[in-house]
Amino acid sequence: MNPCDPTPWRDPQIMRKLLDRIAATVTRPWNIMEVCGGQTWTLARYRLEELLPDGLNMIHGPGCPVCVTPAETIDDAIGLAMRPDVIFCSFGDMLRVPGTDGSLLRAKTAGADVRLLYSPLDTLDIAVENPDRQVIFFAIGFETTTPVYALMAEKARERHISNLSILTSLFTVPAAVSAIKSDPDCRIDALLAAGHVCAVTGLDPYRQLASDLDMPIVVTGFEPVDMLLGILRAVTMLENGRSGLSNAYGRAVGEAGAANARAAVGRVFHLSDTSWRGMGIMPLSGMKLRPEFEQFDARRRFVSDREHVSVTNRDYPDSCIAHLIMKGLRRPADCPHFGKKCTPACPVGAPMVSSEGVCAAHYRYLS
Amino acid sequence: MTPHCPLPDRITTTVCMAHGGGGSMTASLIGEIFAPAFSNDYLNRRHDAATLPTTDCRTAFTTDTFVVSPIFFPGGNIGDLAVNGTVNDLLCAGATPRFLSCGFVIEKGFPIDDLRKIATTMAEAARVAEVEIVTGDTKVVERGRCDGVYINTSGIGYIPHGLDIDPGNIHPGDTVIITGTIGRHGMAVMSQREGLRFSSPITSDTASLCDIVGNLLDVVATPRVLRDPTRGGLSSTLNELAEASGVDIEIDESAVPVMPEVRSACELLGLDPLYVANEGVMLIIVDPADAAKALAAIRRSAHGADAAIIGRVAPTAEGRRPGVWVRMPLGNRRRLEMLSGEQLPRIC
Amino acid sequence: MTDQTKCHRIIAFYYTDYIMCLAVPGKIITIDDDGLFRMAETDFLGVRRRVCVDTVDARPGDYIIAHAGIAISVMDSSEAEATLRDLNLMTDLRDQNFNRS
Repeated sequence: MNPCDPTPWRDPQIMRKLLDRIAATVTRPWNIMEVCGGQTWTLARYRLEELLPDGLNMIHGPGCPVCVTPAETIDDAIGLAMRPDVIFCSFGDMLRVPGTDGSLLRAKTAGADVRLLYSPLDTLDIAVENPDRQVIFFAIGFETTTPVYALMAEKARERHISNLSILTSLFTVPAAVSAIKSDPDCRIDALLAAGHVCAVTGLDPYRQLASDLDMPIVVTGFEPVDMLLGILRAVTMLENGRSGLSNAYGRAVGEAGAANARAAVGRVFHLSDTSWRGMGIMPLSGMKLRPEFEQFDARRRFVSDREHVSVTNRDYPDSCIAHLIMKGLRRPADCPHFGKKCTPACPVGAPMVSSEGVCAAHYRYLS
Repeated sequence: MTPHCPLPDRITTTVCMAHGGGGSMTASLIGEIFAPAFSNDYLNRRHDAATLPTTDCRTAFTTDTFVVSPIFFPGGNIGDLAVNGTVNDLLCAGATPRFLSCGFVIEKGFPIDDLRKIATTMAEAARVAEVEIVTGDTKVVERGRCDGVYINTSGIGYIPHGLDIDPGNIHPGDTVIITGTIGRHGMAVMSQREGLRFSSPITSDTASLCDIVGNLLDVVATPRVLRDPTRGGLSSTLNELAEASGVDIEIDESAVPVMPEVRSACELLGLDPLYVANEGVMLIIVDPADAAKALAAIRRSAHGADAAIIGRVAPTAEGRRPGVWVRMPLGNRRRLEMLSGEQLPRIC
Repeated sequence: MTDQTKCHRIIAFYYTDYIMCLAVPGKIITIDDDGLFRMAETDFLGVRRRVCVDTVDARPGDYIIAHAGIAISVMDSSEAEATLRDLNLMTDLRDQNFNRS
């Protein structure tokens, strides 16, 4: 069989069987958090939540980098993009995220050279082709995306490409999950770990996390069958009173992960305290460039030093409750702006921007 | 005339400001490129305005401007796009397309050879659609003031007696038909875009759909509505129809025809084919009693072989706004929002 | 005219609203070691794109998961088959008239 073919992983017969089995397994309410925005998107796209038994609640975690990048960083990005000597490159999703005032899309309309790329590696060619311009990539992401920036920085150093840098906003999952779980109001019983993050990190960090937090963690894929299989494993463990790690995405996630990718990340980045939009600084919850790669740090090179505040009041204007939603304390429908003042066409908070942001996913598919 | 533009009185290799100046350079551009390509009795009189025959039919009149980037893409270029787009708009009104105008805005430095290719493609598209390009205009702007070339086409067509196509005619129970696979034009253009580039056999579906509409009208006297789902894709067109008619439209996700490669390209870039642009398919709504013969007529037409029934019109539930619903394999359904359509006019 | 130019460029990229976390499985056709990176011409069910495979140990014929232009995993076909076999063998509770209460 061709493992690339998504058809069996979207098979309605299998989905139906899994849903029946989930319903037959649960005997009491449970709260399961899916960490990754891609998984939130799948839940919303197939409307899986309404097919789950009553009392089994999905909580949509903070795993969308678009949503957790602080407004301050967006403001820096806009400032850099507006410089006439800069070619500012980004993934598509970041362009509409609102900063304090405006977005990269608006900067582009105002004449900034903002380019949308599929792969950050393309910036190496752009930098070589434009020696008199500064090429900056908006390096956002979790463990899945960090390796591509590491490869890019290493190659730029090897080739002495000096007009290339990255504006980083890089996060790690385990620290964030621990922080959320330690909140006394937290009501998460089990976790679906993001399969593609684990494909890079390997299983060890999650085995450790499951043991530290004493709860079930299921490594889960992104197709609807994968999601339901992850949920079934999680409720089975919960009903049996077990904690620990289970891998429900074996075709993509091996025990060791992508060792080469992790090694590259280790050479270029180190763990650091990092600011999450609306949630403030969490210890060792992100990645920064190592001192020997500082020349590629756009913030250091072009942004003047200033005090970084923890939760900035820039993050969420007008009582947007995005940070509470991402911690599982509120649902999108609880927000007074949801679907009214705040829509994908005119977002107030970042989770309404990306197609995988929890509010946007709810707005598009659940309304 | 601009002093830096050399003024030999002949066609150069690139367009310069004098080509739009109205003088001899303009005349030679028209004489060597446009007039021979588009030649017909109306155009050849070279009046300031074409004089057209009258008819006792109602007249349909439409206009559209084409700004596609890149200008040449797999399966076509801005030229056939501009002709087919306006022809299809006329067809959607039930009209038989007859006459087109075309206006060119050309960026200084644009290769004359490319302009010739575009004109030749336009002429061929007009020949296939049996329309005549009867009047035109050329302007040249400084570098950076436009992106290569923009083309406006306006079109006139005549509506047969007794044919009344109007979204207001849509009733709950009506059948929704799509005439071909969706998403080809958008993905063909996307595959060429800097930063997103991928290789695939996907070509644009740009085509005039005269054959489909002709065959349809032979068997169904009054289809409820014809629409071409271009920018914004099928979802935008369906939403516009639902809103205009105050009904719900429900489509069956697995019935919508999508080429496997288009589906793969969409997966690769995280796009939904329902939102991707088309330039050679039509959305047709008919009385359910006419559905089978309509489908058969469309399928035996040029560009209609992949036609399929994709859904039905339903009454809007009490107290809800009309909208489009996608029925999924497990039987539950999701609302198909008008995604980018909402914001585009505001950004512009 | 300037506004119009900008307007059309915005339309052009606006609808590429793609998902940043997206990772897609594909099959490696050939690998080219000559450029800046070890690049694999990869087939994504009929659509091809080059993907950097410096991050994984992969050979032509392998199935990889690609994200943002790099491979993050080499897929295990036997695991995929095993999971699907289990899922297909899983009893359909409806066939047994299973009492869900």
